[in-house]
Amino acid sequence: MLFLFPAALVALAALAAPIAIHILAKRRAERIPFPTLRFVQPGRLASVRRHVLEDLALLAVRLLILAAAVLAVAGPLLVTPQRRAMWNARTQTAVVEGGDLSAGIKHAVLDLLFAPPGRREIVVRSIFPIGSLSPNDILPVPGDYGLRFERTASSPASRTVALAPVLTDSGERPRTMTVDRGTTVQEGAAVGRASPSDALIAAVLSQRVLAPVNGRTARVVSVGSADVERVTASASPIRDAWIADGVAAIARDRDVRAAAKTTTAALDDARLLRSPWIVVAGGAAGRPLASAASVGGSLIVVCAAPADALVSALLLRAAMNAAGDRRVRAEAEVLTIPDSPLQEWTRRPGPAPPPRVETVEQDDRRWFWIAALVLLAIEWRMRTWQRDFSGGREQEDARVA
Amino acid sequence: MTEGEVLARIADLELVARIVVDGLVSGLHRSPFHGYSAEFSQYRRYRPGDDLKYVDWKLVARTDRVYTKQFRETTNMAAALVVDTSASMSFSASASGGSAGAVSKFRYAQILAAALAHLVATQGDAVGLVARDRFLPPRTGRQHLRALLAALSVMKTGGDWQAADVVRRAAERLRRRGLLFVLSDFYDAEDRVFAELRRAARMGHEVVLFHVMSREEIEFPYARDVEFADLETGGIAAVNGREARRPYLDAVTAFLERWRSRAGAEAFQYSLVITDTPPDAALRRFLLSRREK
Repeated sequence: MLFLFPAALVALAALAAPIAIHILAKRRAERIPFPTLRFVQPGRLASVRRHVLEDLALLAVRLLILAAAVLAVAGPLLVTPQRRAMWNARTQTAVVEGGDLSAGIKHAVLDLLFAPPGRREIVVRSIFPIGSLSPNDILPVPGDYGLRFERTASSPASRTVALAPVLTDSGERPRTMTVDRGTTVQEGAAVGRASPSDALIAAVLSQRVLAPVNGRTARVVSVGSADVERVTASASPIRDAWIADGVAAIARDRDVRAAAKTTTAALDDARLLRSPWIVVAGGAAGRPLASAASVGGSLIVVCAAPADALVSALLLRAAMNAAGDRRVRAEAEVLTIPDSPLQEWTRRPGPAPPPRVETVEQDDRRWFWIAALVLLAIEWRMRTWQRDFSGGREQEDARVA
Repeated sequence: MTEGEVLARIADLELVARIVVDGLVSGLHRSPFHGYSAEFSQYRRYRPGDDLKYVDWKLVARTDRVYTKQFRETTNMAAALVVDTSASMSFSASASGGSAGAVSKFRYAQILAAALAHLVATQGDAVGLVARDRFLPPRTGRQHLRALLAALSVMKTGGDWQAADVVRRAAERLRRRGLLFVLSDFYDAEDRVFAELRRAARMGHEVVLFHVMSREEIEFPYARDVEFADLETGGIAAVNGREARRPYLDAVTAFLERWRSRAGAEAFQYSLVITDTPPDAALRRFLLSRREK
């Protein structure tokens, strides 16, 4: 027998009440001194013993009434073989299709948790690109849940995906990626754009930088430049996510770090060393070399090194890449998870797990309520019967009362 | 608090007796007891209400003052009070859940005996007290009455009161034809006690029985399971009050009827007194019934 609200069983402690009353009431057969017992018929003594027995039966019935009521409140569910067979005869299925399979499986597990009683099965439909599933994604699925993997299509031999365009010294070039068993990236012809005049920028752009997303701008300002005073004064705390990501990316850039180590220049303007400025590169002896901040929605990096230093160029590349489009194109994957691990993960649904409170269509509490009512009737009958038996002289009792 | 309970609270038995008797005598014109013979003792200043029959008119003529003659009543009757001291007499309703301060049967018998003693003694007759361990021969006088009341008030219940022996002793010590008051519940040695009472009657004594019972004994107002502890034997009987009631009532009624019919057959004065009635009412009823004879 299952209980849908096992917490209600705490009320079984109430069974102590009738027992206590019974014991106390027994004690209440008080002792009364009486002048003489010669008129108190000894033949009636046996009836007391009969009373005790009857009282025990009455107590048992009362306990049963209470127990039935408490069990009824606790939401009993008798797991009969028929019921179990009925549950096992049906399968609750959750289908995971496309998108993030790992998150989908987690959702499916949750959904099935609150499904009506029955066997549990999760069907995953996908082309299963490589990396979309791992044994760790299977782990949260309970052992008695079935798992089935259906490959919806075989992957194409190759596909072409548009990538972010790249800036070169001859302008912006669109890029496409053709993904097949061996991935190649092809660049198109440069689209006409005013050729950057600055030698430094030309040098940086020769390093292939992602074209900035619309509306994003990034600048590197050398300490000697006339703009330093203006940007220093108007710097504000970072509010745009892409600028924050960019600052972190610049600070992580391995090329920048290597080049900065050999640079002796250092920032000596104290304003550039405190908020909202963030030091992104340290020079020789660990002195700050470059700080970044947001100025009017742009990512601005102030660098102590001269404009023609290598580190300045690398900072510029890192800043430009921060403004570029770095999205990952997972759906471009054409390699798929082979069949063998999928078959390994596949399993048949186990027997239906014990149902949850919310999912049971019909429980047995009414039978317990009916039992309580029947017992109540029996108890009433017992009491009246006892009273009838022990004299049937209500009138006289009323007169005495 | 009933009048009986008030009286029970008063420790001084003499006072109680006087209260009971004073309330009584004012309504009775003639001495209820036989053997009234008086000889002159002294004059007393007339007080309104005194019987004009006793005014000494010659004295009025001589002195112009109104005196009544007082008589010393000569003893020609002796009374013996027999008080049951058995443990069953210690029963009171308060011990069995009745109203608090209810009078025990023994206390009631004490009050009744004191009132009777007072009544007899103020009439100038001799009164004595007989109990299991106490014997005061019938004598007259205020001193004797005091001693008798004192002895009565220190009496305690408990044990077998040897009813038949006590009755016989009382009857034998009454030399002349006397008055034998027996205050008891008559539970003990019924037949022997009755035989002794009959013997006392044959000896010429007048036998007056006060059957002292409590309301609980007569009506058995118990409906639940009760364990009764016998006050005399200490025995226990666990019964259901409702079930035991009918046979108990039958038995008790038969017991009371037996004593009533025995008393009637032997021309005893028999009064059933119940402890929740005021003692003076019980006494008055008894005295009135006596006058009707």
